[in-house]
Amino acid sequence: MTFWLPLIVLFSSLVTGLVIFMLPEERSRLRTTLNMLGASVKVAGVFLMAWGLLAHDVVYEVRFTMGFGFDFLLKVDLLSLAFVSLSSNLWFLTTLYAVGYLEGSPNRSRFFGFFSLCVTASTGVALAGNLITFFIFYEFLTLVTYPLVVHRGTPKALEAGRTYLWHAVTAGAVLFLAVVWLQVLSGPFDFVPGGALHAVENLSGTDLKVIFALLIIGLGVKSALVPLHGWLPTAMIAPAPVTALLHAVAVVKAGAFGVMRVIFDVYGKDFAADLGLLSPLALVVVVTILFGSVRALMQRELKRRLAYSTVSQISYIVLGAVVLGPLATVGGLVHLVHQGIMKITLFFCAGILSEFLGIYRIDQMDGVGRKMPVTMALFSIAALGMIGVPPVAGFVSKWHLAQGGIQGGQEWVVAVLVVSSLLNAAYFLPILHACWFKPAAMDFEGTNTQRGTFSKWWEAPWTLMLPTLATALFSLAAGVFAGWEWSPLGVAEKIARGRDGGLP
Amino acid sequence: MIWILAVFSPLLLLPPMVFPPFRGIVFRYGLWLAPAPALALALGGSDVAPGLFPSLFLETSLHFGSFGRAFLLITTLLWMAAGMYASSYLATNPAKSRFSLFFLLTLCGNLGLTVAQDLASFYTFFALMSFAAYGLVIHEGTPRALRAGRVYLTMTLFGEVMLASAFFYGGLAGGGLTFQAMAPLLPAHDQGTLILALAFAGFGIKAGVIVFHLWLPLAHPAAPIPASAVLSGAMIKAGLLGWLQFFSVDSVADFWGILFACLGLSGALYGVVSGLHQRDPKTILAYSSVSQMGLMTMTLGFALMSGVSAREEIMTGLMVFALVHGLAKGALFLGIGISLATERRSLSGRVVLAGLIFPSLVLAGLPFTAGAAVKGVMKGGVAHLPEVWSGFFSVMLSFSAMGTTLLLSAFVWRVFAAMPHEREKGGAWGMMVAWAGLLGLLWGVFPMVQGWLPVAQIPFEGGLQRIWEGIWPIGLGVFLACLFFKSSFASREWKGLDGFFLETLEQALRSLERRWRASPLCDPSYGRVDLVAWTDRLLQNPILRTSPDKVEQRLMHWHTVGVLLVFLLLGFILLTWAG
Repeated sequence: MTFWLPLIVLFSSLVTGLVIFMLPEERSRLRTTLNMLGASVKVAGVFLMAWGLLAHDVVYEVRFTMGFGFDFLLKVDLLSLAFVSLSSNLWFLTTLYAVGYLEGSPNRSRFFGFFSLCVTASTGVALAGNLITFFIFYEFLTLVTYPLVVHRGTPKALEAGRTYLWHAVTAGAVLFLAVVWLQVLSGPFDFVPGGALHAVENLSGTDLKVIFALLIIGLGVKSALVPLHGWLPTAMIAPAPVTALLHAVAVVKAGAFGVMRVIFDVYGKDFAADLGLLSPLALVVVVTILFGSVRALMQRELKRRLAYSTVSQISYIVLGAVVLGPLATVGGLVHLVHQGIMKITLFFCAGILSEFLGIYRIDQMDGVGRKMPVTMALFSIAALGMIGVPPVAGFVSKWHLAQGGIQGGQEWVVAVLVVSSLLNAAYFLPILHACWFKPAAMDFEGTNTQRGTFSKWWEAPWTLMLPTLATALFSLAAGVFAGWEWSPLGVAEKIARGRDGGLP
Repeated sequence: MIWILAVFSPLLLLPPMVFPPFRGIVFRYGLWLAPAPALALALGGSDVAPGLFPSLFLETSLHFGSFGRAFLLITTLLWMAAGMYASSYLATNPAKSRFSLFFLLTLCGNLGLTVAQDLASFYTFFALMSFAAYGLVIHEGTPRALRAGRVYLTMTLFGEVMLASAFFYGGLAGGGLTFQAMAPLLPAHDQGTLILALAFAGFGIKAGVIVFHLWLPLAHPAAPIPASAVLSGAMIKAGLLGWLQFFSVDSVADFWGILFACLGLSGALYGVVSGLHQRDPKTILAYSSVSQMGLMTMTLGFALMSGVSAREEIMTGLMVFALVHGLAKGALFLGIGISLATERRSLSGRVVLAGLIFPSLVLAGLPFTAGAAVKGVMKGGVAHLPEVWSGFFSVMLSFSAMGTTLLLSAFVWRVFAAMPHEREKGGAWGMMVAWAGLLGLLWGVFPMVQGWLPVAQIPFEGGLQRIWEGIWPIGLGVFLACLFFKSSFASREWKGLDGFFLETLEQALRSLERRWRASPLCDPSYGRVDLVAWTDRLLQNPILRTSPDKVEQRLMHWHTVGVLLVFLLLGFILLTWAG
């Protein structure tokens, strides 16, 4: 079972995806059943793995050789477990959302096929046990998300897809160069908590520095580090479930997760700090955090504003990796989860607004709270969490990041977080004020006919409302019960404890 | 469990509000019943075991600490009165469900922070209170309320981030996440001064310390009357409680004591001067709050100065001060609504006016009321101060009592002027009960205080001398007030320094925003590397388009190939030879 379980988790979505490609367009009920079945199997598998690993210390490992001395390796450690449980659970919810969102639209087989493959890729990214395996799934992810971004097929979507592909493929080439270079110099190695490279002899510092830069550039495109973030706001043209998945789980997260892997498990935080690699990256991260927030402030379109907010928030995760204090590691890890559940809620709500009320711009949102109180209440929870207002999850991340900065003697972290929180408030609070307190700007009654009306309690079909409700409640609960042993924070502390040490 | 019930009982009323039939019930009974468990706890909870909840937030611990019980008492009494008042005052308001929602959220935050003894939960409740109160401030939706809300929210945000930073640092000061463990370590800590400065400013915004008070005279009057009462009577005390949690009385540097005392005194005087030329009675009361909080800040400053022997006594007095001010300010605010619904020349009109004059006199320190006890404690504190300060502050104390009388006379006069001439139906039942309740408590607060509040009798001796000292500032204040109303100053409306400052600031910000909007940063494509355009330019380049063809044609010639082959061979031989 230790061999098969990771494979089952990986294949549950791969097989679903391949079967769905074969299905004719009109078999929507069978397709939904398959999708949900695959997602359930994956969630159950991840749960089993988590139970085995945490309660019984079982090592789940799949290894076979690919030639040239390279191994294909899937290995479950705590870090991969955190990411894979995030992606499997959110995939389940997003699939449900997508079923409702795309109901009646064309090309659904194609969409759901690639949707499943996309999650397969992000599962692979999570479970990869060495750099080569990671790279394979990382590139796979690029290729299978392209059809999702251009799904609508409009000229704008194609343009966005082209931008995305250029960025991602170029970055992939740079990443490939770095991975190969590193393997040539050091020979094959696996991810080791605390870093693999400092144990390898005869590596020159200069090589390692250049390779690090290349790795970060390669991963930085997906994790939207400034100035490589250009594709992300453009890609918001994709359907809402796709943007939700891109921003919360799949692409952006894979990039941030990769940066974490490189810093924690390839170089090792201490070793990277000794080489002087973290300070330049920290500068990039700070610029990204502030720049993303400022740009978000300038946007008029809701989804673009959310996209720029992602640019800023994803860098919090990277910030956790580059700041020295052990509490910052915890903060970064926990933000990996927190940002996911909060941002996916925001995009779910944005999707509901655009689909049922035709709202795309922020100035159309006046008084929408009266029309869709439940949706906007969930939106408010997530937005307040993004600002860092307790008790929503975002506050817990910021608390740990800031304290990590103080611990490591890098007090600028506090200043950056303060400025960023103020900017977050500046671009989220006006939305909240407008939707709750301003009189309605447009006649919502007329627009509701787009997709038929729903009962008073379900402002949208339950397939859309239920996932939104779930993720919003997760964001709230993750903050309120942060002290619980198995909350995201508790797990992040466990992960950090198994790593660089320093956390008692 | 009792702690959780007491703190979160307002939130329990929110789920039923999803169903419209329950909204009316929650509004009518929920608003004033919600603080009931907390009131029971404050009255009878002297030996309830501390509540520890490791899973909640970051290891929450809820108990009274040194001051929590007094603050919980003020908070529950005031919120209960305000809730009852609101349930009849706003009965016809179309947005009353929204009011209930924000009222209950704010209440939960305010109750929680009085008993939260660890950093994370305190901050959580504080933030809940501050943000939810925005809904109360702008409830009426008038341009004035919206502007007040904007100023309130902006300043609150700055306060929140300053506090957050203080908490980030404080949590690492050693000793863990409880105030009890953290506060004594701060004075000796490396970053202690920074932490204390951040906490001073952050809580100062809530407490309306001079310079940080700008939002207060706008926001407190903008809210509906019951909300103003809790804003000015209860929530404003959260800042004071925060200071008490951070500044451990025995060990902070002298500097802080002097800073608190001086800023407090300036606030007390500035509040009077600025409030005097306001027209709106609620604004006058808000300025009076600035002034009274200034006096509390000053008293705290006395306790923080080293060499003061009677700390315990001063702190007890401060608690009583907070209680008295809470009740009196609440009664004054609630009284406005009732007077505006009462005929001016009728008997009930006179009774209502008396009901406004009584709390005013208590605040001014009329002998034989709780206010005099408070003044007595402050006098006692001054007497313990070092020589240099003692004389100055004892003069200023009488001066401030005079100022309070002056300001509140202006308040009573403005209310009187605004009372209607024609027959009105008077205040509704709930309004009257709430108001009478607060007045009764204020009357009976003196024995109550001695029974319930921690330790030490209030020093209250001195006979005629003491009574005279209490009366002459009031008499002088009333005299000055008469002069003021005779003069032409009273009829002129001034914006005051605050208004002038805010308007200048707003203009500057508006022009900054205009410039900002025109900056390249607002351009949608700003700041990103346009990889697509770059590569396009590269691929469309004439050289790149033609040269591959040219190279290929050149390779068709045999001699080119021959020469290349020879060079290739030579190169390989060289490599073999070298390697």
